[in-house]
Amino acid sequence: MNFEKVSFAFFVVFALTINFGFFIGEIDNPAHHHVYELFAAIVISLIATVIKLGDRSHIGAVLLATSLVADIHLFAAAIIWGIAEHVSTTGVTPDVMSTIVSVSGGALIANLTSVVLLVIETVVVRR
Amino acid sequence: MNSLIFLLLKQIRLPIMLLIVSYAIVILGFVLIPGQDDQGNVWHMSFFHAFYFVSFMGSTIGFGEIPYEFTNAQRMWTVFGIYATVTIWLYSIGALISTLQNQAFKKILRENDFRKKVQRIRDPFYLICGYGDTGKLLAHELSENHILSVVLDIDSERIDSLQIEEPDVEIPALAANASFPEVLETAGLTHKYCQGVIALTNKDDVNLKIAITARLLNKERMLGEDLMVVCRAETAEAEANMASFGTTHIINPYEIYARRLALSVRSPSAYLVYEWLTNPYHNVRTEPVEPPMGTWVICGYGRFGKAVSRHLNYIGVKTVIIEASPDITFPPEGAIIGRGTEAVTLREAKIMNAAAIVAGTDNDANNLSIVLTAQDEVKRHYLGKLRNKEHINKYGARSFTETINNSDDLNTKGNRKGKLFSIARQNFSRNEAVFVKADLDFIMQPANIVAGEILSIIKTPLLSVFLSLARRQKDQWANILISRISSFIEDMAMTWMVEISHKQTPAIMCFIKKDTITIGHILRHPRNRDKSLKCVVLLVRRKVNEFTELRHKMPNFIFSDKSHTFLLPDDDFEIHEGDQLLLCGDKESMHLMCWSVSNVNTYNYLHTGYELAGGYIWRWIHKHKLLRQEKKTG
Repeated sequence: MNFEKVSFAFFVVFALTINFGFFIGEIDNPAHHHVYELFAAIVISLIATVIKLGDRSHIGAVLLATSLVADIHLFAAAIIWGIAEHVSTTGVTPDVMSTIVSVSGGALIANLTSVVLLVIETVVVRR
Repeated sequence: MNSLIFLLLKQIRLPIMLLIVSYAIVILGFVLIPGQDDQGNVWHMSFFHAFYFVSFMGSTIGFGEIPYEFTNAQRMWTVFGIYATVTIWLYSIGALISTLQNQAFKKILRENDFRKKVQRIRDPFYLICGYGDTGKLLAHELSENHILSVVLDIDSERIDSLQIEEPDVEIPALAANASFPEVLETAGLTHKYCQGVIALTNKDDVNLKIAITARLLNKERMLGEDLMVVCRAETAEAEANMASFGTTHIINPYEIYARRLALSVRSPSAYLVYEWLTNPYHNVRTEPVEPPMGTWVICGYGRFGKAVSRHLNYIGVKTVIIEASPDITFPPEGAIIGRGTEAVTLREAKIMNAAAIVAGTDNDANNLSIVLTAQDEVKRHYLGKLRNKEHINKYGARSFTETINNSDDLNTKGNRKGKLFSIARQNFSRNEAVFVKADLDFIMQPANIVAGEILSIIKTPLLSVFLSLARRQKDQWANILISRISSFIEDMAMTWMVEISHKQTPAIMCFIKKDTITIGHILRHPRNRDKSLKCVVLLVRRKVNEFTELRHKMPNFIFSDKSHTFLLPDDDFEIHEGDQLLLCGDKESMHLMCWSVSNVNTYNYLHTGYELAGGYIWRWIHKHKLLRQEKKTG
């Protein structure tokens, strides 16, 4: 066991769980999706991305790619939220909320892939 | 390049992570801390505003407190935020710069740059391993002849010096160990346009490894003789080893020099021919130097001394060896132990009676010292003898035997007047100024010998064939050749090659099917065909499986396995398609000849004496005129 492996798995799994926490709930109900959760999801996802940098193996490249996909999804969700709240006059309506949550659903899939790959790698190494 | 970015990102992973975390904490703080709007209501910053504020705070731009003035709690958090983010920014930028400055990172950058340059080459090039004196000379000569080369050397200082020198043609260079196959591959060993690998490092085993790598990575091309492998070898064992797996050319500077020296002793004129043809950049020496046949004293029985003494002994010259460490070099019996820099050792070797001295140690200062001491010693001895003779003439001999001894010595050595024929080995080109000033008859410069030899292999491969044939000829033959060449060459002798083919001589190819073409045709002056050019055809090489019956007719014909060669063919010698001609002449003639064999109109004038009409109409009129003339004459 070494710290690098622990922190690696920690952030990869954490990115998934926190993303899931934001995603779960009625899709168009703003009360079920808190902005703090989205913020946390973005920060953890970014950290996970940086942690994956520099791995030259093939699986490392795929892991990095999934993380980048999750980042893009979460950024998109955050930008939509910001525009709805501050730029447009409507505010965060159930319509907007459902868009944000469905976009974060994309990030969820990407994070899920990441975790699956992590599990596969762990199984293959068997150490 | 991609891997380079990832490598950089990996190096600065920690700073990036710290930035993300600090931003996250500070943003979250601003969102959580309650503020007041302009009406005094409790107001929470949104993530958008918090991110906006932290972004300009962290980068110390500072637009002020927005959208409402901050409460004291928010200001306290701002103070914390400024110190946290600004410090981490500074740290991150510092880390980025130190990564870019990192020697290892720079090395990767240079390697990437080099790899790209090599991959982009779209012209034939040579890979030179080793950028010492020899490599430098060769690379510069190649670039002057507009031939590309790629350079590898283990010493980064030498590579830096190359980048400062700025040769005519850009030479991609890398400081790396050439004995690693992947380094050679990066440098273009398997590149489609790589013409040859030239291994010039000063270690025989590295050269050997380069030769093996070249052979194994290019099996097909080596078999097709597409790729040339040239190695410098300094010992006979390495030479034999390299030859055993098909190295195209093995160059042993000591062996080459010893052979030339022996040639100059045996046949000074033949040596002069040699010098003319292989040293095209020097002024032509018109009088051959004639090294004496007497006993030669050789200082240093290393690789050079061994080669020289073997070649001299072979042609019947007696040698005396002086060697400092006989337990390493194993000189033959009768060798004198000592460095040769002291008069005592030289006297022991009977330098007074010797005809020549060869200073062949691997130390330049010692070599000069040996030659100077020996020359002094001989001069002093000679002056002493002269004084003795005067004394005897004046007062008569004290005894009968002394007179005989003295007169003997003076008779045999009298013609040399106390002068000793001196040869010194110059190991480093930086010592050239001293060696030129020293009173030396020959200077042996290994770097020049190797570079010259390789250059002639690349530029005029036929030259080495010619020289090896010339070495077997008699002195008289060389004399005739010298008088022929010196009749038209004033300062510079150029040697060049022409192949009778569509690519090189399109003009000749138009005539060769219809008519017989002789060497006399080619050598006519393109401005006035009654005159001939100032050049001579040294050698013609013809591929086998044609004209085998010629063997009986031609007196100067020499048979070899793959091709037929004709030494110094006459003017009425017939040329065929595919022949390779080696010519020697002055620079102007070279250009004129290259012009006449590639321009149809010019060659037509040389061949027929008529100026050819240029356009279609003129050619048509010309043809009809000829036809009419023919009708008239019947």
